[in-house]
Amino acid sequence: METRKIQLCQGEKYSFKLKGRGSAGYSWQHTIEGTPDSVEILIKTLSPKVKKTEDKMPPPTYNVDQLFTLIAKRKGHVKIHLLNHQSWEPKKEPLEELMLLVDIKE
Amino acid sequence: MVKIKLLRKTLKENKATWSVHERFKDTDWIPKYALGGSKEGLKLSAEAPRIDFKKIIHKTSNNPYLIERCISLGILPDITKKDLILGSKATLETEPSEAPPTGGAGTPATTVDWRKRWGWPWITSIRNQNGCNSCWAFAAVALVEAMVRIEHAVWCERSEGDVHKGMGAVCASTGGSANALEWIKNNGIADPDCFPYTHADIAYTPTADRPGRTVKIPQHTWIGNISDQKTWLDTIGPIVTFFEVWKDFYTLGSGVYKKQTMIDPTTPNTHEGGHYMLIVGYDDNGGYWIVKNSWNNNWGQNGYGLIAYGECDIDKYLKIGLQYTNPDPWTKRRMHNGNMLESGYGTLHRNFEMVSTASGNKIRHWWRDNSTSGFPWNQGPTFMNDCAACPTIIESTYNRNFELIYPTTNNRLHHVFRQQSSGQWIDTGVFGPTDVAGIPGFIQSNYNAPGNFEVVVRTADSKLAHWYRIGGSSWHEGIRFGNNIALSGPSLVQSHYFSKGNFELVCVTNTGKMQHWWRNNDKNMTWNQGAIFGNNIGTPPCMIEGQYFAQDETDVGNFELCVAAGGKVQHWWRHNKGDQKWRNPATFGHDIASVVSLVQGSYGFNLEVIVLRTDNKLQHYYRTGQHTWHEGQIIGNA
Repeated sequence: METRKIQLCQGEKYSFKLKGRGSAGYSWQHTIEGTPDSVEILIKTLSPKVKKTEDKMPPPTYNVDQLFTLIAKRKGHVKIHLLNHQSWEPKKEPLEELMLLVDIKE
Repeated sequence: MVKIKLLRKTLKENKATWSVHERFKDTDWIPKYALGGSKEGLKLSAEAPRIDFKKIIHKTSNNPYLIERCISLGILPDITKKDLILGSKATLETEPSEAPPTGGAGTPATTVDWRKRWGWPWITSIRNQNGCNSCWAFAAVALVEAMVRIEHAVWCERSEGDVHKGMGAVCASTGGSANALEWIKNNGIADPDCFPYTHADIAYTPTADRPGRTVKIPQHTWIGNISDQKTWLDTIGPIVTFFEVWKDFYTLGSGVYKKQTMIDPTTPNTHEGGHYMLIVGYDDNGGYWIVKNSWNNNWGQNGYGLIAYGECDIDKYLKIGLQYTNPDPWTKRRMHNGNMLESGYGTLHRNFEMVSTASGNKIRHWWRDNSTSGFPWNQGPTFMNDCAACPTIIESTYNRNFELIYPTTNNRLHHVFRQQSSGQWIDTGVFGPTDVAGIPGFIQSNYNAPGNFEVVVRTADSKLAHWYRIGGSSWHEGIRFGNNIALSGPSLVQSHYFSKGNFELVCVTNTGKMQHWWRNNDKNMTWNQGAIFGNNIGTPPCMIEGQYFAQDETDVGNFELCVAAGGKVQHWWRHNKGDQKWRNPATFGHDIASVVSLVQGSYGFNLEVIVLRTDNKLQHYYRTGQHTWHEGQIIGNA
């Protein structure tokens, strides 16, 4: 599992892309520990690149990525655990995991 | 009776009329014997136009396999298959005064569900694409598997990895099912033992015998409007669809999916991607499609989902159908034994191929064209000159070659194969025991790829001798086992039992009883004695593992066995999913010297038997879905 240590000052933002695997049934979920009110989390769906096809012909499979943004609100520490999995398979290892250790300073 | 009503209406729509006995004048249905027009009370008219049944029936269903199945299952009247199915013209009385029919010919059924239809399962097991963008390959393969099952009455397992990696895709590659089907059209689609699916980005390295173990398909069909899609589902089979995935689709249970605006009071629903699945049915009452997904069987309803019509662009695009699949010999290898099999030849890819003895210790190739009206038997050339009894034939994964093993006049075994590329019969020589005294059982087994050839035959010391060939190398002697064996026959089966698949065999002992033997291929490969059954048997038994009770492509089906005794054929079967006891539900035929082959072919799970008669002629018998045995053609001299 990848771990990122992030230091932010109040008002700063930290953004990164979460790779979509929706056509495989995989979605991103996150849990947060520590002082959750010290950050705000915004998740934005990015416009997918859908190949244009002739009239009525179905397009190729595609996935929708997400932009995950942290906004530092107030001083604190949070641990954010992101995992990419099939939600109906809780016992299976996630396909991808990411741990964010976020330190927010004044 | 509903389908019979449809038939009546279709006749009417074709401006056909008919006469029936007065007592059927006001019925909604016509009994099958009235349609034949030969019973007293039916008035045949010389002026009446002849009706092309193929044309008529195809208006109700243009899937010839489906028509047979309906007849076989008693859903359509049993107007003898040969007259009805493949376009022969039956004489049917016409009568303009007949009342207008009721019902909806041409209108698709209100509900279709191929997961279980007419009491049979038709859809292969749910798969898991894991984290790759390979749903397009999974939907295409699911379509091929379903159509082989529907058209040829046999479970078929294909590899999503074969098309995925064969096309050069990696885990991240996106694609479309139409492209996958196009690739399959050009290259065929192999089974997982040839090349498996994996989400790892490995090189494409199928086994060397891939050309002989692929299902072949023609061009797929684009189906435009909803009505046509339902008609296709009703009369032909499943269809592939594209679908926009939203996050709430992941949590679908047994309900009908309709996209929600919010996941929960604070979380908006999000668009996740575009996805391919197989539609296996629909329900107009509930207003939904039934889809087979590729997200393992913990998703939805055991891997299936119900999606409301029009939801998430499911009806925005063309859908994809497929017909006229041509299954590989690996798929059908358990479905025949003895001197006949069903090959991929013929327009409908289901000709019977038979090899029999001929005068001068020769072998004659016979074949029945099952795509032609009347199912004519054709004589091929004779070859070899040392054949002592009807050969046992298989179709191997070596380019779908026909491979024969037979006992020679010199008490050896002889292997000959028909090279499909040249049409020539190639002699690979004699092998095996020097004291052969029975008919060989012969299979291509699960061991290695290409699968080993395995032979078990009775020897003069009243034992059974096992010989095997690895790849294309020489034959090896296995063990001799058993005692007091009187007869061996074409009864060796590579079964579905356990992970490696047991070998199963039935022979006849000196007491005139049949004895079941099985080799545990998961443990120590020792031969074990099974049940003893039957009495007064003096001819070789012929056995297959059929499709009855096999719930999916990995499941074991019943053993079906036919053996001649007292001038008749005894049909035995073992309930492999139940008490595993042998039963003898039917005895049929006359003047029978021995059973030389047993096939469960494309005809709606019918059993097909070839017998050698006491007058040395070969004759065909078959059992329909109602479990009634019928006497078929006398084919010719053995």
